[in-house]
Amino acid sequence: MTAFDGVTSPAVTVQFLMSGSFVTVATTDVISINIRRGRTRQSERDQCGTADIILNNFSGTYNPDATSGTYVVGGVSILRDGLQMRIVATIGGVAYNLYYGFLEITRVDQGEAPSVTMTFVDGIAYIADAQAPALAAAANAETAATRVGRMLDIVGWPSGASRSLTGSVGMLATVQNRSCMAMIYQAVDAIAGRFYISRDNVATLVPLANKFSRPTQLLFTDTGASNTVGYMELFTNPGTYYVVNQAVVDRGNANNQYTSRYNPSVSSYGIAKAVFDAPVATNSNAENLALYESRKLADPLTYVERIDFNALALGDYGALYPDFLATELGDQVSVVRSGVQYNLVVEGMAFVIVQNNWMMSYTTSAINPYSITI
Amino acid sequence: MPLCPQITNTPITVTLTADFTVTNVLPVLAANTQQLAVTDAAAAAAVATANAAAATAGAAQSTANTALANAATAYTAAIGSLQPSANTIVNATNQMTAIAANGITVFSGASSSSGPRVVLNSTGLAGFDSGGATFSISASTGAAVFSGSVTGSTITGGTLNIAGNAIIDASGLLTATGATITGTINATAGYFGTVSNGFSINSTGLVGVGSGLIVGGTITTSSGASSVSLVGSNNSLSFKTSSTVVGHILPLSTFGVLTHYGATADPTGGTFPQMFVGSTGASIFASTTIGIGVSTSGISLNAATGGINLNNQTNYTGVATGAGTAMVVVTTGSRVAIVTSSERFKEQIQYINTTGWLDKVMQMKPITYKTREDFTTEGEPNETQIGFLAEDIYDIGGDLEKAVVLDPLGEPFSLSYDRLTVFLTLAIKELKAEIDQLKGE
Repeated sequence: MTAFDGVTSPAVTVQFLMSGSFVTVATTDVISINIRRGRTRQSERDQCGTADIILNNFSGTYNPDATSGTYVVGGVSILRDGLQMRIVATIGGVAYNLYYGFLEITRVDQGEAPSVTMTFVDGIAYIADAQAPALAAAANAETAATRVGRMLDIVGWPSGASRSLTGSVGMLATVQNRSCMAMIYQAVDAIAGRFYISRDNVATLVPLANKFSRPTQLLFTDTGASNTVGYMELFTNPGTYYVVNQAVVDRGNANNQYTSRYNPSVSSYGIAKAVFDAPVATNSNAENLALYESRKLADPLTYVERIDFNALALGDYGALYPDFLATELGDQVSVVRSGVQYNLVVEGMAFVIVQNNWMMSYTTSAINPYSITI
Repeated sequence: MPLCPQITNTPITVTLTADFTVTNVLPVLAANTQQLAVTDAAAAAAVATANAAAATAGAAQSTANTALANAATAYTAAIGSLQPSANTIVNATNQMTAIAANGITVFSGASSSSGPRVVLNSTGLAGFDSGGATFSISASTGAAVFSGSVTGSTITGGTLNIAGNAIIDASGLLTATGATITGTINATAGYFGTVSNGFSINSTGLVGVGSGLIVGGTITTSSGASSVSLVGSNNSLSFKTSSTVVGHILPLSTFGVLTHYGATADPTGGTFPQMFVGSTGASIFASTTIGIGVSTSGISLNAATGGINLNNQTNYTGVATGAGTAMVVVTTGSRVAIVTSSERFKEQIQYINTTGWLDKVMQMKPITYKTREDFTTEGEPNETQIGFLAEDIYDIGGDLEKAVVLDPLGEPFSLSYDRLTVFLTLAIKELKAEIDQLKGE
């Protein structure tokens, strides 16, 4: 990783939480970093993030069974399940977290070139493991943000700065036992929003309106213009694949179900149905939500689905690195191809970082302009 | 701060239009549907029950209609009985109420305008017997007039307030502000105040005063028209200092009035200083001094010695007593005074041997005169007198002024003729010496 000098390009480090403090893994031991966060397209859920770290283990330092060495405390290695890790990129003296995860899988290669592959998952994996109890009537009409907070409490997620939850739509209490993640997805559907674990390990719930207020971080062009990023690959998608023109909002067994159909789209493309498990508190909420969900993808639009680019080619002298490193899920980017500009939302991001290369891939979706007050 | 151009994303609001079809579906509740299912047998039983209830209700309605018709008939008859005309109502004892345009009259008998009746109209409420009103209450002023008395064993209520000047409250307290009582108050018994501490009034008048005190104020009678009489076993006025009786004024039957010091009177005199005024004269009894004015400087009569002391009147103008020896001095106008000449009253005694006295005596100028009328005693003759002028003697000087009495202003006032004999003696002795000398030659 020495190619990243921290001046003209970021210095990337891997840090393990050891005895309450983060210690930096020797950069010469880091063979590759592979990070995936977010989702492929907007009609999907945000998935559990993963980071695969391959370390040179010629010395056996990263062997989980080691009884001595840098990462052994009290005769036991800390490189075991649950180890907290973060990947930090630093430039101009400013550090940006690229990922924050927990050790899930360790594979040790004892071949001619000994290495250890460690897979770190983000907080969603832990939230998904927990089962939520049935909610009492007292939880009736609590907001989506409160509902998500309740689930985080159940899984023991830290409070305070470890949470950023926004969503004012009221939720019905549910009598069903579900996983905490399923309950969170109900809240996400209720507000037509998004839930993810940020690169700083903050559990984040954003409402629909958030999509229209996020900054545009990067501009991709094929002209080499100043302060733009040259892309390597652009993958587009025929919009008809993802048309949705009929939305069913299911509030639960004992409550009304609203079905909204956008007739112009149906007459052209037939019925494309999507069901939303959203136990919102009022009929009005359900009707508005159905109205929005039946409209936002009703018009097929060919859009850029993925952008591949080399992070080492970010403009001259790394001027764009702060914007690039600060980019978060939900932020916006823009692509100009043959004079046509596509405004996009970053749905997911993938990092492939090796000693002398840094490949990036953003999955994106078009910013459909429709909005509604649910 | 992103370096790339910012994208302006203006949201388009989704609204319900004709392009949308929105349906609202209630979930099917199978359990509730089952609860609503009923059997044909149960339904038939329910219908029979309902029909029976309807028949019962119909019979009840018929009975009610009959009762209502009967009630209407009775009502019409009652109205006719109670109201023989449009403006007259009769009660069970034939007492009638006439309602006219100017009020309501309740009466017994045949006429609403004569005989006993009560009228309530715009002027107020009035009651009549066969003649004029026996009582009335004015609707405009609220004044109440009763030809009879307000009687009753008990009159209850709150406060009787007459224009704020006389108030009798519920407890019987009478408060009169600026009230005047005219006429006669006849009382047989009772008190102003309490029994032990007030004035008692009975058929004989104000007969006693309780143990309390009359503090301040004045007892006044009309001049010459009446008197204050004290009647009782003690019939005296007593004067107290705190609880001690220091004196009395009391009548002595037909003898007169006695004013005395101390708690007990002694009409015969002697025990306590006292003064008696009777029909034949007055007497003063005192164990020490009877004084007029200030006892030490005015006129005092010494009861122990029987003397009259005129201390602050000089010896030549009045009569005085010395310490145990009486003397009388005659001053002017044939007034008599007593002076002392005994050696035992004198000291630093020197005999006079000087000369020149004859010349001074030769300057003395005897005169005749009459006393000015304003210094004479009425009824006494004012005859021509002989003597000297005190001023002439004073002007000669040479110790002759010692025979002149000066007034408090230092002016000659009177002349001690007895002292002039001293100077005449000296002149004679001087003349005798000259005669002897001439004889010797």
